[in-house]
Amino acid sequence: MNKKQIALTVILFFFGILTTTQYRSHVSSYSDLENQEQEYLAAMARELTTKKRLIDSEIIELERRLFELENSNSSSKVIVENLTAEINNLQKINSTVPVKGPGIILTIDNSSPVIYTDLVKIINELWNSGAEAISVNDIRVSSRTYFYQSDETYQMTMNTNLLDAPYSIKALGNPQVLKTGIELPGGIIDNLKLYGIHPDINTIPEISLPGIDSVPSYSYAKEIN
Amino acid sequence: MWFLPFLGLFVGAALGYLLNIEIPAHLVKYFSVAFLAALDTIFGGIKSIQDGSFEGILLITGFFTNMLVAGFFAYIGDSIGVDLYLAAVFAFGVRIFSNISQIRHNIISKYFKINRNDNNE
Repeated sequence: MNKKQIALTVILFFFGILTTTQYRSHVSSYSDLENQEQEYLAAMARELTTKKRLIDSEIIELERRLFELENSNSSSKVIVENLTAEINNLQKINSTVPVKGPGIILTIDNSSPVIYTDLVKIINELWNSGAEAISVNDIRVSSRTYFYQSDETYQMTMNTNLLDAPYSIKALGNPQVLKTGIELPGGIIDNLKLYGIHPDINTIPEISLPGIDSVPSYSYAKEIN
Repeated sequence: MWFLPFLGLFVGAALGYLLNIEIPAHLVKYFSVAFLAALDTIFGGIKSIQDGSFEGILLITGFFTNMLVAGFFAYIGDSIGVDLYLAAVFAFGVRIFSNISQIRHNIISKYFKINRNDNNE
């Protein structure tokens, strides 16, 4: 009886191990895709297709947003480029940077009895003729340039610099237009001739003008919107 | 009489469950045949206890040999393209059911004193 019990116990013990092991392996292999029913697989495929479509549309949406962001990026790049161009333009207008280009050089020799108003009139006429930059004896004319002449010594000054003959006025712009403008009949040149002043006017393919020495800093002027 | 074997069954089942041994997927089939062989051996053992022809060592060796041979035959059959697997399932199935019916007969005749020699099911 005892031997029977032990023998049965032994085989049932192993049978138990075998059964549960087999059960668990079967359950895990049952959930394997390979062993699925065709209908179930079809349902799964349908579900996954729907999911994929959703994800695809999400990808499209995200790509659209990416495109937008890149676009706004490039538009800010355009803004920077525009601002840079504007800064360069303003620097030229304010005479803060050296410039070069075609233009004319107007030279008045030592013997001429020039007063500072003659220079101002010449410069006015050059501006009027479309000059983009003007310098007198290689000092750039800016928005704050002033001329002065001593009543006693007739010594001329431009800003804080002494101006001595010969005077060399450079104007950057279309050379022909500048020459024609300044030589208009009854204009400044004709006027100067009355005083025996005969400026020498040369058109030059390329002249270079310096920038102003120091940029003024404004602390009182405020913008009006 | 039956307490220790059932204890063995439950301990074995619990152990198998807790150990969580993963049978490789391609071997699951052969293990299922081995399982059938084991089941057959168990019912054969129970029957032999009732018959009085029980031998512990025969049962234990039969248990393991039957399992191994059944699994191996199924494997060989798969290898050569013959479904020996099905033959094993059939043979063991028939034997299990016939053993169960014999056991049932034995139990019933033991308690109700029915002549076990007339063989109506």
